[in-house]
Amino acid sequence: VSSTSKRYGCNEGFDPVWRKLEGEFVVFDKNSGDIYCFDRGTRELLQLLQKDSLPAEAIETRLSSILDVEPDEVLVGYVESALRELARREIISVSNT
Amino acid sequence: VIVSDLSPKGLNERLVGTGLGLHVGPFVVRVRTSIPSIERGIATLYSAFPVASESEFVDFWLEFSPVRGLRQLVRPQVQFSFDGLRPFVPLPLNHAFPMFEWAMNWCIAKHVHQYLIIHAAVIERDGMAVIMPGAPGAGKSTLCAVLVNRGWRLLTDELAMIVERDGTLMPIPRPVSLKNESIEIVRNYAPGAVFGELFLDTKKGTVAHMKPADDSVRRAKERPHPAWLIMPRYIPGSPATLRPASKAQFCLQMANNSFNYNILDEQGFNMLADLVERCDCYDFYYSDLNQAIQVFDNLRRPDNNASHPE
Repeated sequence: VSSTSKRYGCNEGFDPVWRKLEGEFVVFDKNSGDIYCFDRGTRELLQLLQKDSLPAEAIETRLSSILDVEPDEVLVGYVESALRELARREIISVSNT
Repeated sequence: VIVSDLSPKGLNERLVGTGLGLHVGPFVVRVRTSIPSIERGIATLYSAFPVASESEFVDFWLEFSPVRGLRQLVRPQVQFSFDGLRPFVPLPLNHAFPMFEWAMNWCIAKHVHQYLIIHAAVIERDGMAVIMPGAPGAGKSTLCAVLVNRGWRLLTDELAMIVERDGTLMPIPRPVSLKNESIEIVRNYAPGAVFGELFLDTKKGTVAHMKPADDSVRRAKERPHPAWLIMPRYIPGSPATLRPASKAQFCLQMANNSFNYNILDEQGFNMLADLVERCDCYDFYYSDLNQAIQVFDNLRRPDNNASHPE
């Protein structure tokens, strides 16, 4: 399965309450009771994935527009790293289409 | 009536009879015991605490008694009962007073959910409070004990209790528990402070308790606003340094130090976030207590804070 066929989406139980604290975001998951700290990019990414499951390329394109940054290799690396971290914390999951 | 108003006989009769009711912060604790070291500890360290009448509602009923049987002849032990349950394993009889203190901490941390409770020391001056969470060994209680002997009021050395409706701190001034080297350090810094007995070889090492100032006990209904969140870290050789900390990271650390944010659920999270938002957050590194005192004396009131205590 190629990487382009992977789609990322929030796990069903994820039920966040967000608070912005000096440029960073703290989120409480009402389902698990866990608290996480994210930067703005990861917050926007999570909010995208709450609406829809998306492939990495679509996430990069949309984040580039939301954050007003170039869709370059820096953004690609950032998205890869954020997706890996969110999957490790079991906030998102990956499906193959 | 406060404990020191009772005669030794009167105190003993209450403890072994129907129990001694004490107002401890917002709670009424009733203690029943025949163990002399607990009686001595209460007489010395709780002398300024108001005595509750027989008819008052009791939040926590604590009973400490010697373990019966052959064991009492060889290795005498004390057991703690709470509402008829025995939540702790018995401890050596000569550790009865530390057990009394730990039992009270347990009762509050386990059963009180009208406040957000954080494992932290709290001190106050001019109506503004410093909350000092800290891992064991970080020097939180030592710093707290020294500062309350240098013009700060003690609210707690262990259980910061935040009131949901206005974000103020509910004082629960009790004896400050000091361990190992910190006992001698605080004695040297505060020669006028009153200490209870020294308890050797407890599960936390050598333990002694410092009596809270009478003024702190008298003002147990004055709820200050939190102004600073300071995470102390004792680092040998380090100059006293306050370093601004990430509020978001502090929120996570405070959640880890909270006994009940998960029980309070979303409300607990919002209380934590509100608390962190309205306070200045710092990591504090120190090795020299004189320098540390100076840093605390120079704390400036945050601009974004409500300015008056209740």
